[in-house]
Amino acid sequence: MTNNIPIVDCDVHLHEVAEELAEYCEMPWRKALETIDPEATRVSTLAYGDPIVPGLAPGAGDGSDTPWPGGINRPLTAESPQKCRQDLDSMGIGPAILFPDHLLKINLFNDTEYAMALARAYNRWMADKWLSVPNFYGAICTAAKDPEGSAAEIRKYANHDKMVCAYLPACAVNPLFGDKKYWTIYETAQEVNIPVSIHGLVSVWPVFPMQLQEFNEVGRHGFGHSLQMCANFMSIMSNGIPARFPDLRISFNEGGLAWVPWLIMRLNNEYFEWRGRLLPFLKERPSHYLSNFLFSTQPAEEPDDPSDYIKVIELAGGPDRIIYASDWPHHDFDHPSRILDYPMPDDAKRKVMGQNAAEFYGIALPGG
Amino acid sequence: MAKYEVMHASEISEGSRQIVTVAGIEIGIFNVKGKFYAYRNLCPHEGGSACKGALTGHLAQGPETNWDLIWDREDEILYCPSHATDFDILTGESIARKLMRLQSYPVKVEDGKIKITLSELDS
Ligand code: FES
Repeated sequence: MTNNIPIVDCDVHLHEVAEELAEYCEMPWRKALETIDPEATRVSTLAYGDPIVPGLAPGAGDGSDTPWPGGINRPLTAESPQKCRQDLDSMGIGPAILFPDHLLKINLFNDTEYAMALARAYNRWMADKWLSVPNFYGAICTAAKDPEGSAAEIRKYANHDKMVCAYLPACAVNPLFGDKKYWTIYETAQEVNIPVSIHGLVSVWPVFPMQLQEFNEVGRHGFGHSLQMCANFMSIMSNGIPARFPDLRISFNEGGLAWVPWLIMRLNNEYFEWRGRLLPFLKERPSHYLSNFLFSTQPAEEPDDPSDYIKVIELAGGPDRIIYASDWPHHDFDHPSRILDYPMPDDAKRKVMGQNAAEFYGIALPGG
Repeated sequence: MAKYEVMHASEISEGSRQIVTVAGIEIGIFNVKGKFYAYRNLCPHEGGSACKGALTGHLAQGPETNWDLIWDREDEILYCPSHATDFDILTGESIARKLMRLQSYPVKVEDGKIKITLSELDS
């Protein structure tokens, strides 16, 4: 808590270790997990060049960036649930929602059955090792290449008191998240009242959204994350997801906020031309449906004039639609002070820093 | 208030329209299933010749169609040729651009003749 404003963190990354996951994994997949070098899995997914851990962290880290010295030298992975909790406590953060680290890239596995087995093992392991720690909440890991298996995981944990949403990766998905292939996930999530959180990650596969393989980390990360959000948001809107699943709640994590006003205004413009032919399911202009979504702050934009950030919040649907996320312990994490220091009225800060998330994810606020 | 006789009703078949000029104003007259509607040929969006646009239907899909995709409102939706703003001929209102509407004029058929009423403000 800072200035008596309760803080809910919508995005913290735990750290998977293959040998621990193996204990929670079914055969025969456990055999594969047991072959993974324990040291390799302790390496950060975000160390220089985003290294690949075969069998656990497939991905973009092809060593293509020039390895200049300097940069961040603190650990970029959570050492243990207890240490991670201490770090968050020291920043004044209360309830925190845990997302994967290596398994952010779960959709890059060619073997869908292996991916689904990993997701199940991860969920059992997280529930056991991490969610037993007070103030930790979990995002149910899915393997979206297997929509039925993913929906079954969501249903399985729907009544778990600390599983509060389902993780969907914002890239390395083909097709994107509006596609009919995923509707079974949405149907289940809506039925059991679990929000889905589309979370960004660094990957250039498939060549998405446009020649990201040409960029170094600055472009893959700074540009890529927001583009992932845009591509999925466009797919979700142009397939009418908020109209088809009116009670489904979706959050967009780790793309910042500034893409929202741009894209929603673009979509409104397209709607006026195409409603009767390509968007018959949207009864209102796209901006009307902003109330079905939440957007997380991190990585927070840095306008030259701090008051412009308040304008961005307003244009992205207003303080009711925005949730704070730190992304701790990753390289681009935002300390709560980052958002608290922006010149926002107190009631807006309360909403953004904790109230909205507490309501959205069904988390009790400290003292609430 | 002035009433203008513009043409014989038989000159506009069902599902079609004619553009006439009355007191210097271009007006589109539409026959939807035997009922006549008159709108100014001026799009409230950016001034396009709305009444000259495609006169057809639209897709419908939602709870009201049980989520089946159907072609609906045949001959009742007019798309402005400039940017495709969709006007419901029965009301003159745009469906996508809520609050936007074509200016309408009272129409009557008397002795088989179509008559349009313009107010002084219209000229
Ligand atoms: S002028 Fe008619 S749609 Fe733009």
